[in-house]
Amino acid sequence: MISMIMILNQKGDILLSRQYRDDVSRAAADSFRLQVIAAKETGSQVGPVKRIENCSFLYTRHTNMYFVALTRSNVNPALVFEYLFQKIKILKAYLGEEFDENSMRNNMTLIYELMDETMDFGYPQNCAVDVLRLYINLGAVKAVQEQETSELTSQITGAIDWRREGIKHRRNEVYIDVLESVSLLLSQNGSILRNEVTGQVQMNTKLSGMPECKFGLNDKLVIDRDNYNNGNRKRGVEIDDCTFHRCVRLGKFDADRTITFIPPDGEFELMRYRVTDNINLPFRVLPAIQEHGTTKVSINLKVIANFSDKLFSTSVIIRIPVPRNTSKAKIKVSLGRAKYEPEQQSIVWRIRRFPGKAECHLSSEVDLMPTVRKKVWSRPPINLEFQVPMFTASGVHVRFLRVFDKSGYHPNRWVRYITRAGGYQIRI
Amino acid sequence: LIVPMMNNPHHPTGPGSSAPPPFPPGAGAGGPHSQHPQVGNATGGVGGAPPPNNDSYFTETRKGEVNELRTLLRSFDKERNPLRKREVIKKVIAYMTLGIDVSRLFSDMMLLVETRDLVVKKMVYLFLCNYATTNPELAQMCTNTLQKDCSNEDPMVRGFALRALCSLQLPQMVEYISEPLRKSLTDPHGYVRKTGVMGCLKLYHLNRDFADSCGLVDILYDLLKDNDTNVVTNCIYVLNEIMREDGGMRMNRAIMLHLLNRLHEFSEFGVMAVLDLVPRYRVANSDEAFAIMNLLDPLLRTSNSGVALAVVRCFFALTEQTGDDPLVMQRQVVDRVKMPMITLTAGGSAELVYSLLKHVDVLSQRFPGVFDDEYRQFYVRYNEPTHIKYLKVSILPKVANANNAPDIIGELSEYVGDIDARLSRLAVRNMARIACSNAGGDWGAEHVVGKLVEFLDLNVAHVSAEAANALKDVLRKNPSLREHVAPPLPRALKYTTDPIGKASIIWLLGELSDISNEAPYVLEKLIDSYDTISNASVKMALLTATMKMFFKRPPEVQKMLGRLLKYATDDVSTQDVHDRALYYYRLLKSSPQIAEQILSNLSACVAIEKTFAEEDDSDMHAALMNEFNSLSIIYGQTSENFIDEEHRVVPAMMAEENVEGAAASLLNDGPAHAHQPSTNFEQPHPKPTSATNGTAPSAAVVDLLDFGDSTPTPAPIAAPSNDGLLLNPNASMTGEAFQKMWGEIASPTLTDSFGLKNLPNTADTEGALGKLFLNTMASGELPTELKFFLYAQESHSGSYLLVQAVISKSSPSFSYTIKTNATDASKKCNSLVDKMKSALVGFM
Repeated sequence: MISMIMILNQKGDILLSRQYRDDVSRAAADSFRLQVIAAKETGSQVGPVKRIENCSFLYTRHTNMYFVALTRSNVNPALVFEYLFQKIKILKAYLGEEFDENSMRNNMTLIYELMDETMDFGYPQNCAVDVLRLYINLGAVKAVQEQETSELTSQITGAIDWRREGIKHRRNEVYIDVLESVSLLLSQNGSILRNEVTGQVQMNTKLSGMPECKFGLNDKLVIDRDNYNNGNRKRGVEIDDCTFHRCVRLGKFDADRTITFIPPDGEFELMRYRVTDNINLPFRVLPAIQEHGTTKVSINLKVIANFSDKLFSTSVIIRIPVPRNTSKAKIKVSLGRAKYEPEQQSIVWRIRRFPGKAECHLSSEVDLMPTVRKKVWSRPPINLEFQVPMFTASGVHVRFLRVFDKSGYHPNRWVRYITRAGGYQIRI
Repeated sequence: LIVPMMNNPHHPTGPGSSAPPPFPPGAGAGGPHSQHPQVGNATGGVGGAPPPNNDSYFTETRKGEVNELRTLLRSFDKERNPLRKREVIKKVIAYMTLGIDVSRLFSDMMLLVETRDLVVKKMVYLFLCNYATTNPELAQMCTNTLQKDCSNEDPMVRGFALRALCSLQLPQMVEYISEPLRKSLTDPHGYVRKTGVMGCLKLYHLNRDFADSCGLVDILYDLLKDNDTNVVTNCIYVLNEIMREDGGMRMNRAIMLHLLNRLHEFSEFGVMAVLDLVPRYRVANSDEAFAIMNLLDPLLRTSNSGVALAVVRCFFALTEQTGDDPLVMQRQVVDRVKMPMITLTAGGSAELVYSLLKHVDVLSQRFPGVFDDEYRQFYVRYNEPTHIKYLKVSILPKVANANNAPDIIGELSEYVGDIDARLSRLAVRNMARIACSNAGGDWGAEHVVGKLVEFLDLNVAHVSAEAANALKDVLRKNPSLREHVAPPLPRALKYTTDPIGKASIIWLLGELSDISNEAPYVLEKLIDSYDTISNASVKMALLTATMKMFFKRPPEVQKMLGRLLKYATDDVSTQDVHDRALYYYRLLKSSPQIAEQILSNLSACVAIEKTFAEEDDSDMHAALMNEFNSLSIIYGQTSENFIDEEHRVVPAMMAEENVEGAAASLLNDGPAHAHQPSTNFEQPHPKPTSATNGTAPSAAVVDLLDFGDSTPTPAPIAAPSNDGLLLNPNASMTGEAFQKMWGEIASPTLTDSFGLKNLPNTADTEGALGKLFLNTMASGELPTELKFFLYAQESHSGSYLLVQAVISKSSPSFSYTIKTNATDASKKCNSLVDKMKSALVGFM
């Protein structure tokens, strides 16, 4: 169980703390400040769990605040972190996404209420934002009506704790975001060392009532099964593994791979998945880097966008490393801007808008300062950052989202895809 | 309760703590006032002894502010605007948070508790809990109000008041608490019951004997059957803590199965609480262990890593009881959970990834080979937090094998060039670990040595030092690689500055002096500049190396050894060096042969062993597996090393029970049973396993009659399979299959009916049956009757039970026809009927 939750600012001052057990003291904040916050500033890295005199500090950060849980027992660390994340999520829901020290101070009593409601005597209690909102509300003074509260308590204790009944939206809408991050590591000779896509399906639901949703991706197992029945030949994506938000009926998924759920109201992450086969790499990079003696390096780089010409990639940043003793670099590019940035020890090439199927070149002559002793250049990899809207590297796309509700409305559904670089490196 | 004021802030609580600054930065609402000290109407409040603070200026200021607040509070009756009322109280709470003593307002605050504004009420409660210990008499005065609130018609008020009442932590209040507490446990509202359950724990900590005398434990056991899962969750927390000394909540089969059956109704934290109990559960037989594992399997897909890891822990515990070789079974478990764990690490928050990777680290050492094919997951990404990078780098050698070693070694050597010195050191060290464990085969070891020699020459101080140190370990392990190491050593010695690296190179030179021609002359230079060496370990290494060299190349070394021994014995800066030199000197003097034997054996003795003794932690990992999913894994040590005695829990297995006696099966207790008295749910006192064994000790289990899992007598095996019908919660069936099977089985196994009092509607019936995993294939409403086609799948055999049911509208009754292809059909049908009856008990 948790003995105390503290919220500290960057300097280590307590903004707020709630003690659930009397086996730790406020003085613990001092030791945390000295051993963790001060240590961070001096550069040595401390993991998210720290033990000081048999008291364990598990902490996470939000903007510049530390959320710290103190305990003296052998707790389940994942549970504590999940609780802290829930807590931050709740505060975000009440105080806005980017809440800060000031909004914390101004809403001190509200936060005390939340502290009391989400945890009792060190054990987590109700953490569902939607339900909490029912009886903890910001400032709106309202004489409590008995009828309402009795309805409310049945809610607080209902089996579906992530959604309350009787939600009404004038317009029923669902936004689906498929976010993929593609990682790639190419060796010098162009062979793939690592290639993987991790994807998230983020949803923002604005639906009335208690809608039953059925969601389908072009999952290979499902497609193959359907194809077997009706004989058309579409290729599905082989999903290695996935995890789901707690609203998804896991038993059903294991039985026939259909994703069914009653969604929470608002934003949530429906699922997370991994794909390792048949990945469409959005960019191909062909480097040619030669060291001429000890004073010159010539760099030629060709970058080809591998996606459809109807699409384009935004904010492409290519970092091409150069030796430490570079004095200057003459650079020519066919698109965008590039310059040598000594603090990064690399040539940074920025392209705001990279059209599909396009081919861009960079050529550069790098002059090195002569050095007394020859230093071997370690040749770090070329690094790419980019975003490609409406493209998925894994090929995943949403096949359908069906919403069933008693009132029988037809919601508007919007789908968006974005692929980002999550470690896209080419060794040279 | 809120700590800030538990102890008067003006009395530092310990030598280490300093009193809070008079005005903490950003004093919030108090800001403007602090600028203008007010002349306080120093009438001295109730219990307002001026704090012993020398700084009278600030004391006055505070008193002024506090007094002003009091005036505001007293004018409360006249204040009509509820929002402004709140503001005043908020200000009081804000002061409290900052550590300013506002306890003098106690009596004024208490007057405000009579309000219909819930926010005000809660804030007053908060204030009350905070200052109760410093104002016990006054706190006692407001118990009346609290008690009254505990029977308020509004369940929220009842809950808040009860929580406040129990949190006062005043020993003299015990008798005032017990009555409302007892009442709350039977409250119609779940919120009050759940608060009441936590109250029991608070009471227990306040006064153990009193809590025992109230018989709360029995009530709590009853509440495990509560309809509201939040109440049940809290019951588990509380019982676990009350029985901490016995190794956690005592349970029996009925309790465990009841909880597992309702698992899907619990919140995530509740699920974790239930899963925490499973490892202590003693399964009736291996079938049951597998049935439970099947039930828990889908939970591996939740995105909550706490739940997923808890399931893994349950799997480990359950496989130990299946009777098969636990290590083999557990390996299969790790195989099963590998993918979900890796998916959770991809894209989760850094803190959770860290904790998951720590678990992977332990698993990969305990079950070598399982994570090998996923080695790429442990490659470092450039944007990861550094502590995760370090962790991943140290996992890499543990997943290396002959196939992937070239890749891993290549990857690690990329990290060596990283700007972060600690990462590059770690990378070097872990490359050496691959060579030492011989994971990559002979080729791997040779390859690593080649790389390490390159690093030695790289002329980056920390890399060379680390490489030298790593080479030392590799050579101790694998002397056959010495030829590769010798050439660069003399060079490297010149530019290595790090003492440990230097010592390692000197050690290597001593070891390899027979093949490195220059070795004696490099060391001679060092010996002649002995005075400039400041580090003791370098001196020690120099002594040993020169000694070794002496036996290999006596003519060249003899003179310099003499000089070195002289320098070292004269050296008074380090006792160790001095003694070692003296020891060598006397050893040589008494018998050079023995000296040679001693020194040249140094290198030989390690190589024989499989692993270095200091790296053999297999016992530790076995112990850690018992504490899976706890801080023990994060710290890499078992809990007795870092948990104080009063917080340590030594989990105890559930007492063995005669399975014949406990006839509950995995799915038999629907929520409908909740209020039926059931003997199984009383607190499971360890029962003697048979009449003859009347003297069973309290917690320890004596297995006199061989009821153990390994050799179960026939009776316990037969019992669950007769009574227990385990239904697969994920059963699915197509319409055609249903029709085909219905047609194939000619004669129904069972046809009967039972009466109903009320007429249920279609959805209710389906819902109630569905909860017990009796799924509806089709249903329809006719003018005179409701018709259902239902199916269920048995977990063990996979055989189906099909039901055609008709609820007649005119005279409500439920008639059914069951067909099944299962063996032992009639018994299974009967227990299915029991299930249906229990599901529809609300209408009977």
